[in-house]
Amino acid sequence: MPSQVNTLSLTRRLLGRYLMCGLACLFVCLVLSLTLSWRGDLIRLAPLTVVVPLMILAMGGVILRRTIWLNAQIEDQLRRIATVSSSAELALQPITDPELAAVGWNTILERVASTATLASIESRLSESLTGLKQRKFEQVLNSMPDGVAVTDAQGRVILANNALAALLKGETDESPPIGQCMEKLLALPTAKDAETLEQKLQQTSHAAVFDLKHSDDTSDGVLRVARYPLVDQDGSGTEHLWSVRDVTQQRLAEEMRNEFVFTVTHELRTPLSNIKAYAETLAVHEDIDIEQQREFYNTIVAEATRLSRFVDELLNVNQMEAGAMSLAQHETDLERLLADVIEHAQPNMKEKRINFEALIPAKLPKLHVDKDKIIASLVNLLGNAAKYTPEEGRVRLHVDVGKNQIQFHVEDSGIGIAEDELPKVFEKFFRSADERVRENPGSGLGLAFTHEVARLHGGTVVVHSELNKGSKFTMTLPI
Amino acid sequence: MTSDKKKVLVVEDNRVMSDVIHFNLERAGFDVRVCGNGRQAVELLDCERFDVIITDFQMPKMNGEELCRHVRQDVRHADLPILMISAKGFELDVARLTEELSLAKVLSKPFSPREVVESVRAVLEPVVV
Repeated sequence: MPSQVNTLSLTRRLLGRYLMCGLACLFVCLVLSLTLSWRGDLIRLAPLTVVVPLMILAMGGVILRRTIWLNAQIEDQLRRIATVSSSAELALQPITDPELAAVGWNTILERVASTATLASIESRLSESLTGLKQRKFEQVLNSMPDGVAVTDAQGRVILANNALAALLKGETDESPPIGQCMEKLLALPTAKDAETLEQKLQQTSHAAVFDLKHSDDTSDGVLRVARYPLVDQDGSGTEHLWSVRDVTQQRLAEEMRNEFVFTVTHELRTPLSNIKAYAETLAVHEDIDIEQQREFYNTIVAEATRLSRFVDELLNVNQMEAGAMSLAQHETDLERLLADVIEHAQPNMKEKRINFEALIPAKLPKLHVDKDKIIASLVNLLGNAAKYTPEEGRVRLHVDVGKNQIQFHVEDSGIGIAEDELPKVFEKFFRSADERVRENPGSGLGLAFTHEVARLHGGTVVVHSELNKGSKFTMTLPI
Repeated sequence: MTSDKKKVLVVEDNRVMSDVIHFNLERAGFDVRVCGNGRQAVELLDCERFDVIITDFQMPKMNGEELCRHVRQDVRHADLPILMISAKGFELDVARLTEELSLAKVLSKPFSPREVVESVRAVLEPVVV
């Protein structure tokens, strides 16, 4: 708190003092002139009438200076502000004076300074937040697996995320997609149905969605392309938003499923047609000899069995697809289990006069397994062995008991499996492209089923094979 | 006088099916040859003369449609009546195929052997007015 706080305003004090000086001068002048005019002999002191008032004025000025100084400072700075351009920074100086006015001035300065700082902090914050948002959007766009692009009215790419370049990587072009014509990047002019695509794309105000196959082989790659008109806030717009997604896996899965359905209908219809044909023949012709009749009846039975087995397989498939395959595990006598397996497998072996041998050790442990599923799995392996081994070939079932695991080996002298197909044989719906396999009916699900059963039991199924020589499937289960 | 039996070529990869067709056609008085795929059929057509062909649509190596096209392209067999057996009901465009390949008839599985015999008879022994 300054010691000399004066509550009167500076201006008033100024005026007051000024008036006082003036009055003092006037008074002195008056006194002097009166004195001089009264005493004629003191005429020598006449200059005093001028000097003394002047001195008083001078002294007054000095006294006033202090008072004026503060105002002058403030007025100076204000005048400077008035002349300065609006965008320049206000270079305001605080005034060191205990006077209230000076303190007030300094307070203004502080407040202005802090507001300015606040304003600049605010603007920097909002800038960085916008920047953050922008960067976040960019990050999101570039992390998307789908390709995203925006094209201008001429169809040239003005914005693209990283995925787009990766998905559209042409054989020759490594240059970034920006600036290039989208239709050229997608190789639309050379696509199949280029005309229909062109038509679709002509309708610029509608969304257009289509699939692009890289080649006739779906596994070479299929892209799903969608184009949407980009509309401005006012409803107009000539730009388009493109989305490109790799749907190869989906299409392959669809195709495999279609093939499966196709196979299923065929596999169901064939035995049914046979049963009907034979039954009708027996009904119509009264004069068929007994041996022939018996053959026909047996055929009907065999076809019915085949149909029934296939339906069982379908049920298993359904369970596998739903991921709902569960195990009903019980203590199982392996001898009985293997006897069942061999009984199921024998007819197939006999039909093709295959040399079938089973090497089973005398001492077999009891296993905690799902008996039906294990039987089905082993029958499947043996069934395949018989199916894909030519007449009078060799199939061997060999059981190997280890310390904490048991192995079932099914070996055949059949057509074998090509090296590039080996890793795929356990895939659902997979069927070899080999003609000799395709000739045989099959769902492509048997091995997938066997594999799943082994896995659920905590075991494995593996295959070793040589094309045209034979295959060996080994199912391993923990004891 | 040699028996004037008409010769039928049956092309069917499923042995069980071809056996029953064979049985029924023979009972009906036809001379029947059976083979398991299109290629064998083509070879047989080269050596022997047939009056009618019955073929399955779905076979490995050369399917029924391909066989038909092949047969129709051959001048010798251009007029040979062909009956097609198909199990592919939902996908097969019967009208289109019948026209394109000049099929005498399309039978769909499951069919009755009587149907087969009657169709063959109808094709080979048209009613004379």
